[in-house]
Order: sequence, then structure tokens, then C-alpha cells
Amino acid sequence: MQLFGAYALLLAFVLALYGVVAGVIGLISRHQRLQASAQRASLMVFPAVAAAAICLLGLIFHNDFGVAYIAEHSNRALPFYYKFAVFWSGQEGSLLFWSLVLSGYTFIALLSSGRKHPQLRPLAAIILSGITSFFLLLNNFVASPFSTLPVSMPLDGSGLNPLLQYTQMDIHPPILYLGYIGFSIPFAFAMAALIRRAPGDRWIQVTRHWTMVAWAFLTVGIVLGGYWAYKVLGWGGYWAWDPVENAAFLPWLTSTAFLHSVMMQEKRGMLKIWNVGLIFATFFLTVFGTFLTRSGVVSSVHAFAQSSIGAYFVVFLVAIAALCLFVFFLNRSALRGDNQLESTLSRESGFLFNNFILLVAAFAILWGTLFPVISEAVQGEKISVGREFFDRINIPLFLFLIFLTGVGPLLAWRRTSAGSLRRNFLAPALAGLGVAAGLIGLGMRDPYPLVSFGLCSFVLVIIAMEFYRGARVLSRRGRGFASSLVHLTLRNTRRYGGYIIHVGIMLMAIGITGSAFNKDVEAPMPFQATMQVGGYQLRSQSYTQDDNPNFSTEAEIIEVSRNGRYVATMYPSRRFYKASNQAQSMVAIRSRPLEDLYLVYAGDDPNTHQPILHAYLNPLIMWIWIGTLVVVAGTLIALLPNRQAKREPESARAAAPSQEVALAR
Amino acid sequence: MRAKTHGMLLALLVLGLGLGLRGDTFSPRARRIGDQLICTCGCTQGAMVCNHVGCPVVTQMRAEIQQRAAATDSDALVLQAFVQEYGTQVLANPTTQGFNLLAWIMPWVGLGLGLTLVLVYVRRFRRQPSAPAPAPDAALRDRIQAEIAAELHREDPRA
Repeated sequence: MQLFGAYALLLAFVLALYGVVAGVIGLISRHQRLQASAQRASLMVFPAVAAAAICLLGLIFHNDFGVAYIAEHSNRALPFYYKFAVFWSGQEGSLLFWSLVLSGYTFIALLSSGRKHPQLRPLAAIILSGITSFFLLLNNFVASPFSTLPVSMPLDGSGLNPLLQYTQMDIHPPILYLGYIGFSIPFAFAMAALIRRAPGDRWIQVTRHWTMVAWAFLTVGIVLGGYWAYKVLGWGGYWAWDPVENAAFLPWLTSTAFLHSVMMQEKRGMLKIWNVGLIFATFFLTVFGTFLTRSGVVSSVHAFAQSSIGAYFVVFLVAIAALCLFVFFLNRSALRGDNQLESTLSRESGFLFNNFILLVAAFAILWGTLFPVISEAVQGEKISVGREFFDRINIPLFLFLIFLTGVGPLLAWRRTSAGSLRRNFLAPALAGLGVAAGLIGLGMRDPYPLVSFGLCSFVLVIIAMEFYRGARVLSRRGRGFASSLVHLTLRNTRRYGGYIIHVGIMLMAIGITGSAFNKDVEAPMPFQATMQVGGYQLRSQSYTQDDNPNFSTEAEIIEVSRNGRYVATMYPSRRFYKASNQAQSMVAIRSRPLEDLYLVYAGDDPNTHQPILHAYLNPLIMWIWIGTLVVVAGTLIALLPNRQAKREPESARAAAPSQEVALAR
Repeated sequence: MRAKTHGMLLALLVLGLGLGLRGDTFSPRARRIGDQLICTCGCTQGAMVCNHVGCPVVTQMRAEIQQRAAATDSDALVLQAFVQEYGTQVLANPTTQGFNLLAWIMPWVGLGLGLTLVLVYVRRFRRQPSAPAPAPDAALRDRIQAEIAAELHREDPRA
């Protein structure tokens, strides 16, 4: 099976390479059959990589420890549901997973774009095959997951890293990869359109659509990573501005900027150069992030083991940058804008500032992430860039971004009268100020949380007003209000889906702001000892132990009460994983909408040998996870075709100009 | 309106909870100093945050933080002592001196540069003649409502 997998990977590499070479020759010589053959080869890469992936999974489940990768990352006692995580837990397997997702995306994108974009498809296929070839080159010749051990097969493997033995780890990496790798598709189509000097903006539709899909996966992937960190790492937080976290966040910022600025291109024919630049930057940053994670250039808890693979990524990054710059300067005349900015008080202007803030944030985060490397190169000493740096720079930027999220819907395309803006602005602004004033009245003095809660209220009221106004118009025709809301949303899925996404982001912002009030207490907790955290009283009741083939557990039994009333019994514990000889804390969390009580059994005091309990009280954190679900729901709605357009295409076409006016409100 | 009131009450309640909480075994000064240091075991987590079971460094570091925070040395001197013991990497953030100052300055330079570019872009286009202005907002709104009503009538003439 191992040989079959290795050959399948080799076949996939040959097919991808053929897709590039034959595709280029076919395009230059205008040889249609050669082009078609190249595209078919690009399509067939996916089945070949899928065969290799199935082989690797088969070997993992078969406990074939003769394969080095499996011996290093799995063991017999590992439960079957974690064996899936073995696939992407190491360098070699995760690269194969990357190739699998990329070839899968290519397969779907090429099949679905044949009729809609016949001009772009051959070039997009070549570009996608080129990217796939790079990863398959690594899979075959640099980091093969099918390499065998030079010695005889061990009886058992070293086991999966304990930090990865969580349900979240079964879904976090695949979702994150779906986001990361998904940006290859818009990149390929944007590049193809630029090379072709494609007339019109139809290519922007496919690019926007795929960017939305990738963006949604990346959002969920990043949040799942935070959820995993929160549940597993046991430091009470979910985001530490770690270089690898930042690497995932950078393309999120640039793609978010693109999803906003692309509307200016679609509606007003503006910012074409900017949009192409954003798509190129997003793809570049995904590869750059992969380089950071896998090269060992930066220190991170998430990084893979240091390896020589970084050099290959440097070459690939240089090639991408060179190709982007060459094509851009060659064909930039095809990207002239059709319209101009007419007023500072316009939606275009709002998007411009939104893009500006997102890009400055991306630059600041990139700078902070790379500064230790720059410092080492210049001063010869590696320094750390931590939370304070990133918070100090990003909090004001993100607060301004929240403000723009609210103002955006109040601005019309082309220009907005100051009077109209004042009228629409008044109620939400009063709501925001009211919340801030109420919080000041209750004693809150920290300016950032005050501004954040005030701005989030401001935005939520604006969005609620948008839904209310639209639904009220529809409900006058005899529909119920709830039915009008649904009808309104389905008639303009992109607009109202976008608003729902903004609601989700605001909920997340509220949850993140809650961290300003985090509290924690660490103290020895021997039998019957008590501890107070916030309004909770914790009492150590007893200990318990457990043992299974994979790990042994010792847990502290903590009784939680509030105002003398029993609330819950919690079991913060510590596991010792036998195969890897590693210990790991298991956090106990009592999650509620207002706050999480988060208990970590932090080990024994080395002097007194008493167990130490670290208790955290994290307000509002649940809203981050709820907000993410709302973002997903909003994205799904935004991806739906408008109901009206689907049911009555002719009348919709006839009404298109009026729809534009409606959109421009 | 009710939902808004609930939302506000929720925020106020959370604030009340937050204000009611108090510290623990570490003194506020020890926490303040500890927050400016990172664990040097390689985990890249803060010295007050690292929670690796059996971490060979952090327990010792925290004891030192407690001990030094209880003494009369200034925060800067305490941090300097940690730098001498563990190297510059122990500081959670770059200092504001010499080359490290660049770390703090560059994001704001980027902000200033970006803002200048945006303003130049806006001014450049505003100087050029613009297309005719759209209809006033109130009239536009009436027209949209009329169009929606007409569309609804086409969809369902009985309505």
C-alpha cells in the first residue's frame, strides 16, 4: 500500500507538470487539443492525490509503523477518531493534505468554470497546476509521507502530540487549510484575467465568489484555532499574537479588504489595480504564512519542526512575486478605472478607508511578526514582540474599523448628503453613546472597552434599522413582518448576508472586549482548601485517578458554589500520555453567556507538593463562538443567488437598474 | 427596543461582575512585571501565562518575579536584572531604545503614509469634474418604495 501511495503521488506530480508544460505550449501554439489535454491532466491530479491520501490513511489505521511518518506521529492505543488527525499532524502528511485540498479545489473550479469562463479556464488551469506542482514536488522529493524507516519496523509508534488529541484538532486544520488554499483559485482567475487582458469584469464574479468561500473557511479555521487554544493550552486565552496565528490572520485581513473593495469595481468600475493587488497579496501571504510555519524562521508553539523545507518556499515566494509583478506591469493598462470618486461622503470613500485600515493593520502585524528576525539580522540578538505591541497598535485601528462598519450602510454610492447622514446617524449614535454613558455610570473607566461597547451598539442598531426599514416596506403589502424579513434577505442575499456577517463580527468584538475584564487566581488547593474567584467559591473536594491504554489521568474534584449555593462540580485534570511520555493539563470550563469559569490543574508545587489550581473568570467569551456561527450563516446567505433573480430572470433583468438604485440607498 | 434594553442590561451586568473581582497570590506589582516577561522555555508564552506541566523555567521565574517585586528596586531595574539573567528575549516587547524603537515607530509610519495616499487619492479625484448628482435622498427613497411596491404587485397581483 505504501508503494502504491508513493507511485500515486509521483503520477500526480507528472500530471500536474504536464498540465503546466502542455498548457503553455498549447496556448502559445494555439493548439486546441493540446490545451484540452493539459486541462484534463490538471483535472486528473485530484484522483491521483486522493488515491495517495487514501493510502496514507489506510496505513495509519493499519498501524504500519514501518512508514517513518506513522511511526513518528501515531501509536496503537490512539483512538480511531484521532487517527485522522495523524494525517495532518506532521510536516509530510500536512503537505499531502495541502496537495489534496488544492487539487480538489482545482477539480471543482475547472469543472464549474468551463462554460462561464472559457477564455480564462486554460490559463487558470495552468496556474493552478503550477502551484500544485510545487507542493507535489515537496511531497515526492523533499518530505514524502511514504518514506520507510531504515531499521526494522518498531512494535509501536511515538504517538500523536498530546496537544493534538482533541476533537477540535480533527476539524481545525482541515477548515483552516480549506481557507488558506482556497485563495489559490481567485488568484489563478485574477492572474488569468490579467494575462488575457480580459475585457469586462465577469472574471471578478468568479474571483469574488471563491474569495468568499475561502474567507469563510479561513474565518472559521482561525476561530477554531482560538477555540482549540482556549480549550487545550490552558492559559485562559484564545489569541496570543503568536507568529503562526498572525500568519493566518494576514491573508484574512487582505481578503476582507478585497471583499469590500471589489464592490467598488463591480458597481462603479473603480479600484481595479487595487483589487488585483489585494488578490495577489492574499495569495502571497498564504504561501508566506506556510513558509513561516514550516521553516522554523520564527519561534511558535504551533510551528512544525525545523526543516530545510523553508528554502523551497523562499524560491516559490520569489517566483510568485516575480510573476505577479511582471504580469502586472505588462498589462496594467487593462486595469484602468471607469469612474472616479465623486464625494468624500460616499460609500466608495467608506470602502477606501476600510481598506486603508485593514491594510495598515496587516502591515503592523507583519512588521511585528518579522521584527524578531529583522532584529537578529541587524543587531545579532533575537527579541520578542508580544501582546502589548500588537494590542497597542491594533486596538485603535480595529475600533475605527468597527466605526466604519456602522457608517458604511449609511453612505450611498457616489455621494451622500450631510443631512441624510445626520438623520440616519442620530439614533444609532445616541444608542452607542447611551451604552457608553451607562457603563461610565457603573464605574467603567478604561477607554477602550467603553469605546468598543459603544461602537458595537452603534453598529448593531444601524444594522437592525436597515433590516427594519426594508421589512417594513415589504410588510405594507400584507406580509407578516417576520416573513418580510426573510423575503427581504432572500431578495438581496449579498447585501443582507453581508449585514448578518457584520452582526457576527460585532458579537465577536463584544466577546473579545470582554477579555479586558478577565481575572485569574492561582493558589495551592490541597484537600478541603477554598478559593474565591469573582462571585464563585471553589472548594477542593477530592481527587480521582483513571487509566487507559493511551493515557493515565489524575483529576482534582472542585465544588463550585455562588452565594453559598451549589453551582457545579468541575474536574480540572492532568493526563500523562504513555507513548509520547508527555503530560498535559486538561482544562475544566463552565461556559455561560456572561462568563466562563475556567479551571486549570497547574501541577504540584515543587516545594510543598501541594496541587496548584489556576482559576480564570473570562467574561463574554461565548459571544466569540456565537459570533462565528453568525458569520458562517451570513456567508452562506450571501453566497445564495437572489431569490428574485432565480424565480423570474426576465423581470429581474428588466428591474436591474432599479435594483441598483435600491442597493445604492 | 426590548432587545436593545436586554443587550444593554447584559453589558452592564458583565461590567458589574468584572468590577467585583479581586487578585490572588501574586501582588499587582508582580503581575505588572510578570506581564512584561516571557517564559524562556521556548513556548513563547508570557511568564504569567505559561502553564506547561513541569516547565523547567517558569516556576523559577515566577518565584524570582515575586521576590524582586517585593523588593524596593524600580520596575526598570527588575526587568534589567531579568535581561541579564535570561537575555533580551525574556522581555515580552521590544524596548523603546536604539534599533528596537523602529518596531514601535514603523506601524505609525505606515499609518501616516497610508493616510496620505488615501487623502491624495481622494483630493485628486475630487478636483476633476464629477457626473451629475443623483436625486435627493427623500425622492430616491420614495422612488425605491414605489418600485418595490410595483414589483410586489407583479409578483402577486392580489396583494
